[in-house]
Amino acid sequence: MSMNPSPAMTGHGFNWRTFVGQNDAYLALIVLIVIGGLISPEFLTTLNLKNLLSQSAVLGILAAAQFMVILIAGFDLSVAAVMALSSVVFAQFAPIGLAPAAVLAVLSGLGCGAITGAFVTLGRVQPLIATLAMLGIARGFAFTVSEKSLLVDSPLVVAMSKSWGIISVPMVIWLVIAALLSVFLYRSRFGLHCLAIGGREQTAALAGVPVQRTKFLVYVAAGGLSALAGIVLVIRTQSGVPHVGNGWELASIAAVVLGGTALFGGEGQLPKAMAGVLIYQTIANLMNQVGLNPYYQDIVRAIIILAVVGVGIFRVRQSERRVNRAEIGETE
Amino acid sequence: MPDAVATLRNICKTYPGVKALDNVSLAVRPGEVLCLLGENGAGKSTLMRCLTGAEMPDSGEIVIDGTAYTALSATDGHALGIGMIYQESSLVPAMSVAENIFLGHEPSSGGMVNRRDLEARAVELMQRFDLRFPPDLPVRKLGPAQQQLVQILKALSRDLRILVMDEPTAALTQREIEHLFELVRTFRKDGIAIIYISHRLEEILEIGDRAVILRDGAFAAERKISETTEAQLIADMVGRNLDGKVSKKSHTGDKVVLSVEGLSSKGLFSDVSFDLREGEVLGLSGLVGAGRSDLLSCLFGATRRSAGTVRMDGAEIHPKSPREAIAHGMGLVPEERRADGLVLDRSVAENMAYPQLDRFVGPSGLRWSKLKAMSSQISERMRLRTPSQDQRVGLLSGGNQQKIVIGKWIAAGARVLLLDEPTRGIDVNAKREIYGLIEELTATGVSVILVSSELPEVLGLSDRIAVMSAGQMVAILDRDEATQINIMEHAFSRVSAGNGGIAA
Amino acid sequence: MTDATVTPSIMNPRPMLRKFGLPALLLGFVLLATLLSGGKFIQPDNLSVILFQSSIVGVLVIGITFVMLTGGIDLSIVGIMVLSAILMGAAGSERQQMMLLNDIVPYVGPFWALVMALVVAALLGFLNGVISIRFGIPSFIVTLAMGLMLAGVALMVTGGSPIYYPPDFYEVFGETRIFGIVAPVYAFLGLAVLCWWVLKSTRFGVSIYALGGNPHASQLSGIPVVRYQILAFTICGLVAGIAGGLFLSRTGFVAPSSGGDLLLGTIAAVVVGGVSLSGGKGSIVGAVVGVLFLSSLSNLMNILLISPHIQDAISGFFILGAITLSNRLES
Repeated sequence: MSMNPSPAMTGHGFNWRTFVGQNDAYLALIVLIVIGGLISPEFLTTLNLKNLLSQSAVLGILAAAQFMVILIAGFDLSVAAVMALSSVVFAQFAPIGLAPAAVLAVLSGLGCGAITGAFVTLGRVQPLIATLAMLGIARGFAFTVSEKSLLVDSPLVVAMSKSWGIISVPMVIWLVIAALLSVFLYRSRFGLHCLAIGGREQTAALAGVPVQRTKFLVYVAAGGLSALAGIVLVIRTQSGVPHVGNGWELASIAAVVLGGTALFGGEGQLPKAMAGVLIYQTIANLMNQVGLNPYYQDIVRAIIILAVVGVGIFRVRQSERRVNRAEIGETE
Repeated sequence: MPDAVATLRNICKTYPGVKALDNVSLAVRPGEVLCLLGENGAGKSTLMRCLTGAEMPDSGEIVIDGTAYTALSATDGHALGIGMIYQESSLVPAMSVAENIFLGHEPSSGGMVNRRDLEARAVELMQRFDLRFPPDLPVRKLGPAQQQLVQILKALSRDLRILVMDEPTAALTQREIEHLFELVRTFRKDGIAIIYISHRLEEILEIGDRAVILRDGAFAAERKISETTEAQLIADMVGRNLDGKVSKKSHTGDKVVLSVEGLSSKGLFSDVSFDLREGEVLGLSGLVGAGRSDLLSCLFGATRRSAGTVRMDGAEIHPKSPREAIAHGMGLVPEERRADGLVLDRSVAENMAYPQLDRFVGPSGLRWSKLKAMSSQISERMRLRTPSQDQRVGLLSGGNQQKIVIGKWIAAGARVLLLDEPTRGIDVNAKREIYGLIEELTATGVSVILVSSELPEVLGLSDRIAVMSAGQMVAILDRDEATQINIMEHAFSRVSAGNGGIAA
Repeated sequence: MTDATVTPSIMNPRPMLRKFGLPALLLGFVLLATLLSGGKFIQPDNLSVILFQSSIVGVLVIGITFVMLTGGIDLSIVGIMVLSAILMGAAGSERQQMMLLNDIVPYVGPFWALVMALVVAALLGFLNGVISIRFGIPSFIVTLAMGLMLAGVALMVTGGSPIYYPPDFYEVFGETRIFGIVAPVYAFLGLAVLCWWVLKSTRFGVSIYALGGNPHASQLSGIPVVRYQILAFTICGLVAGIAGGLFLSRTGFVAPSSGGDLLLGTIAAVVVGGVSLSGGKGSIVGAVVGVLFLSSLSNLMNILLISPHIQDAISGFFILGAITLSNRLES
C-alpha cells in the first residue's frame, strides 16, 4: 500500500471511458443533432437552427440562474416569474429609454433575488417554499405593472431582432453571459465556495467559508440573471408578457440536470448545463419537426425529465456503494 | 516548562437529553503531544469542537494567549492558529485535492483564484511530506487513507499553533501510521501543540507526552505517559464507579431459542454459528468494525443475509424486514439511540407502542386510553422519569430515552432482545437500572444478545461471550473462562497489526 | 424527579408563544379585519362566503397534508384535480360528449364517470408514490413532472376544448344549501373531520407521524414505512379527485388550464398552518386553519378593493413572514 495514488487512478494516458464520462452532455448533443439531421430535412436549415438557438437563449440564461442555485443545493422556482416581471418592467419603461428601462428591469430582478436570499438565509425558509412564494410575488407584481402584453416598438429593439445566418442578438447575449459566468465561477473564490457549500455545507462553514453570505449572493445573482432573460425575451419577441414562462422553472431544472449537474448540489459545470439547454430545446424542436401532437410533447418531456433524474440518482447510489465497498475492503 | 498556549476552563455543554461535557478543564503547551482518552461518548470530540470553534460551549471559557473567550467561531479558530483533523471526513468529495486543501483561504487576488498557483502551492505542501497526489484529482477518487492525509495537509496549509487530531489513524495502515508519527514528531519539534485523540493505547504510549482521561463527559484523570502503563490508562477509562458488582445470576434454561448456522452477509461478516438458550445473555465482543452490529441487524431482518440458516424454537425463520423479525418475537435496541431507536418529536406513549399498534385498534379506531395505560405500566416498571406519557421523547435524558427503546420491546413481549451498546452515553444510575432490567428480564425467560464495547459490562452480564474478529466469530467463551485478556486476544486474532479498531 | 428535563413554561416565554401565539394572532387578525372593513368582514354572510371560497383549496390542503407528513410533497395535486374534473365532465355528460374534439373518453353516465375519475386520481397518486419511493427520486421532481404530464393528458383527453356541460348533479350539489351554507362546505369540513380522525385514531395515522419524524427508527420498530408512504400519496391523489368534483360544483366549468393559481395557495396554506416540509410535524386542524386564514386575508383584501395581483404579492410576503416567524419560535 503506497500512500500515493496508483497511476490508474489518476488516469494519465487517453481513456475512452473517461473521455465519454467527462463529455457526455456534449456527445449527447452531437448525437442528437446527427439524428435530427437524419430524420428531418428541415432540421439543419439555417432558419431552424437560428430559431433553435435564439429560443435556447432565454431558457439558457434562466438555466444559468438555476444552475447557480442548484450548485449550492437549492432550487429556484421563481426564475420564470422574475423573468416575466423584468420583461414587463423593461417594456413599460422602454419608451423613456432603453438604458434606464434595462437598469430598472435588472434592479427588479436583483430585488426579488435579494428578498428570496434574505428569507432563505436569515429566515431559514426552505428554498423550495421561499422561491415558490417569490413566484407568486413576482407574478403579482408583473400583472400589476401590466395586465396585458406590452408591445415594444423602439427602433433599436426592432433592429436587434434581425439575424445574420444562424446568429441572432439573443444568442450572442446568451453566449457572452454564459462564457463570462463560466469563467467567473471556475476562477473565483466565490465559485469555489459555491461548490463547497453544495458539496458539504458543514465542511465549508468549518473552513471559514462565508456560507450565508455566499448563499444570499447566489439568490441575488439568480434574480439578476432571470431579469436579463426577461430583457432578452423582449428583444426576441418585441413584447413584455406578464404571464410568460409558465412551466419554464421546471424546464430550467431539467436542462441543468440534463447537463450533468448534480441535483442536490456541489457538482456541475456551467458549459455542460448550457449544452443541457440545447439538448432540451433540440428535443422540443425535433418533436415539432416530426409533427408530434403538441399534447403528447409535454408527456414526452416529463418522461425525459424523470428518466434523467432517475439515472442521475442511480449513478450517485452506485458510486456511494462503491465507496462503501472500498472502505470495507480497507478494514478487512 | 513553557506556558500553556490554550486553556479550556470549566467547559459545560448539554445537548437535548445528554450532558456531553460537565465542567471540563484542560491546558495544552507548545511542543507537547497531549493525548485525550476516553470511551465512546466520553466527550472528547465535543470538547475539541469547542476549542476549534465548531461548537459553542454552554458555559466556561477558552483562554488563548491570555485572552479569554466564551466561545469561538470557526473563523476565530483559524485566525488563532487552531486546526483540527476531524474524525468524520471534512473534505468536499467532488472538489479537487488542491481546492480542498485551501478551502476557505484560497490564495487569490481580487477574489479571483489562479488555479495553477493554487495547485503549485498544494504540490509544494505535499512535497514537504513526500506525497504525490495529482492536485486536480477529485478527492472522492482517493481511498480513505489518502483522504485522511489530505485532511492533514488541509490543517497544515494554515499557520498552526495547535493541531487537534481526532482518531487520525482509524483508516491508516501500519506504514502510514509510522509516517504520520514522524510528522507529529516534526510538529512537536517546531513547537506546535498537538492534541491527539485515539482509542489505541499502544499509539498513545508511543507518541504522547501527557494523557488526560475523560469519563462520561467529566475529567477523570491525568497521567504522564512516561510514568504510566496501558493497564493504568484502561483502569482510568473504564473504572467507573460500579463497585465491581456488575455480576448477574445465570438464568440460562435448557431450551435453545435461537439457533444460528453459517450466517453470512456479503462484505460484512461470514459463517457465524451459535445457539442462544432461554434466559441466556450471550455477550458479543470484538473491535469496532468486526461485524457485531451487522450481525444483529441481519438477525433482525434489517440487512440482507447472503447465506446460512436461523432457527427459532427449532423452526427455520427468514425475516426479510424488521416487521417479520418482530412477529417472530425479536426486538432490536440499536446502537444509535436517537437516530435509529426513537422518533424524538413524538410522545413517550407513541414510541412505546410502535411495534404493536395493531393491538390497540378497536372498532372505533385507536384506543388511546388503552395505549397510554400500557405505556404508563411499562414506564413504571422501567422506572422511567417523565412528567407524562405525552412528553416528547426528545426532551428526556439519554438514560430515560434508552429505557423507552428497551421498554417498547418489553411491551411488545419480545423473547429475544438484541442489545447494541445499550449503556453508551448514559449516566451511571441509568446504567445500573438497565443492568438490573436485563437480570429481571432473563429471569422471566427472555434471551439477550448483548453487544458492548465495555469489557467489564460484557464480563459481568454475560453467561457466555462470543468474540468476533474481522467479520467472523472466532470464539465462544464460557463465563468462567473469559477474561479481558483472552477476549482481546481473540478480538485481535484476525486483525493485522495496526489495523484494528477500538480496544474495547 | 431529578432526571426529567422539563422547564416550567412560566420561566420561558417560547412555549407560551408556541401554544397561544397562533390563536392570539388569529383573534388579532379578526379584530383588525373587522375594523378595517367597517364591520363587513364579520357578517355571517361574509363568513359563509369565506368558507365557500376555502372549500376547494381546503380539500387540496387536506390531501397534501398526508404527503407532507411523510416528508414528501405533491406538486401534481392541481393537475390531478383538473384531470379528474375533466373526466367527470367528459365521461359523465352526453351533451359534453358531443362537444369533445377527441373521442378518447366514452360516455359512461354521471355516476360511473365520478367513480372512474376518483379511481384515476387515486391511481395517479399511487404512481407518484411508487416512482418517488421505490426509485428514490425526490417527490417534488416526480410530482412536478407528473403535473406537466397531466397537463398534456388533459389536453389530449379533451382535444383542448373546455368542459362546459358537466352533469347537472354538480350544479345541484354546488347550490344546495343547508342552514344557509352550501353543500361543498360540508363536504370540505366533513372530509377534514374524517381525515383528522384517520390521522389521530388509526394505525396508519400514528405511523405516518412516526415515519415522517424518523423513517429509519420507524422501520426498525416494525412500521411498514414504504407501504404507508405510498398510501399517503394515494390518499392525496384520491382527495385531489374529490377536489375536482367540488371544482365542477363551484364553477360548472373546467379547462385543461384551470386551477393554475391553486397550487401556490395550497402549499402556502399548509405551510402557514404549521405542516413541516421535512415531515412528521403538523396536523389537519393546523392546515385547515391555515386555509381559512389565507382565505380570510384575501377576502379582506377584496373588501378593501385591493387589486388581485397585488393580493398575490401580499400573500407571498405574508407566507414568507409567517414561516420565518414559526422557524424563529421553534429554534
